[in-house]
Amino acid sequence: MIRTQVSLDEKEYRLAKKSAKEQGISTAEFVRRAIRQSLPSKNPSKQWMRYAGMVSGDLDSSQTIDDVVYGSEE
Amino acid sequence: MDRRNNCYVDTSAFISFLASSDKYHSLFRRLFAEAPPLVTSALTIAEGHAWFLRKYDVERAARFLSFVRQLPRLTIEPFDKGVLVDVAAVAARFKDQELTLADAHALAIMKRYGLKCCWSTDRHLELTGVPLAIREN
Repeated sequence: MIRTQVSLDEKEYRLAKKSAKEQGISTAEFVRRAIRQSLPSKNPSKQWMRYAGMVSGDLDSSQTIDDVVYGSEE
Repeated sequence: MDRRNNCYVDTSAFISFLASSDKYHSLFRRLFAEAPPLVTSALTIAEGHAWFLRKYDVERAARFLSFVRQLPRLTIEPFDKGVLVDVAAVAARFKDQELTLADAHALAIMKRYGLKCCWSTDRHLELTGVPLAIREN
C-alpha cells in the first residue's frame, strides 16, 4: 500500500463518509473502490467488469426489484 | 442455433452484479467475469433500466444500458406478438404466483431453448425446474 493525500470539498467528503458508513466500510476503502471503478479494466477485453458494483445498493437489492419497479403491495 | 448451454440472465443477476452491497454480489461478479453465452428478455432490460431510474437517476439508468451493450455474447429476446401465446400460457400455468410479464417471458425462453442454467435470485424463475445459480454456487 502507498499512502497518499487527496483534497475533497466538504460536501463530497460528507457524502463519501455517509455512503461508506451505509456500506459498512471505511472512508478510505470507499475511495479505493471509487478509484478502482474509474480505472481501465486490467483485462481490456472485459470492459463490462468496470461496471461491477457501480452503485452500492442494499443487501437485498436483487431481491426487492419488483417492489422498486412495480411498487410494493399496500 | 443450439442454445442449450447458454444461461438465462435475469434482472436480479444484473442488479446483484452492479450493486456492491448486494448479498450475492461476489457470486455474480465471479460469474460475469467468465460468462458463458447469455440470453435475456427485452423486458428484463426494461426492468433493470426502470430499477436504476426509480432508485437512482437517469445517468445511472443510462450506465446500465452501456453495461448491457458491452456484454459480449448476450442475446436479447424480443417481446412481440409472436411470443404472447407462450408467455400467456406460462402466466396461466402459474397464476397463483402472480408472475410479472418479465418472469413469464423468462420461463418461456428457458423452455423454448431447453436452458439448464439460470442466473437469478428470484425464486419465480425456478418454477419450471431450472436451478438458480445461487443454489448451485
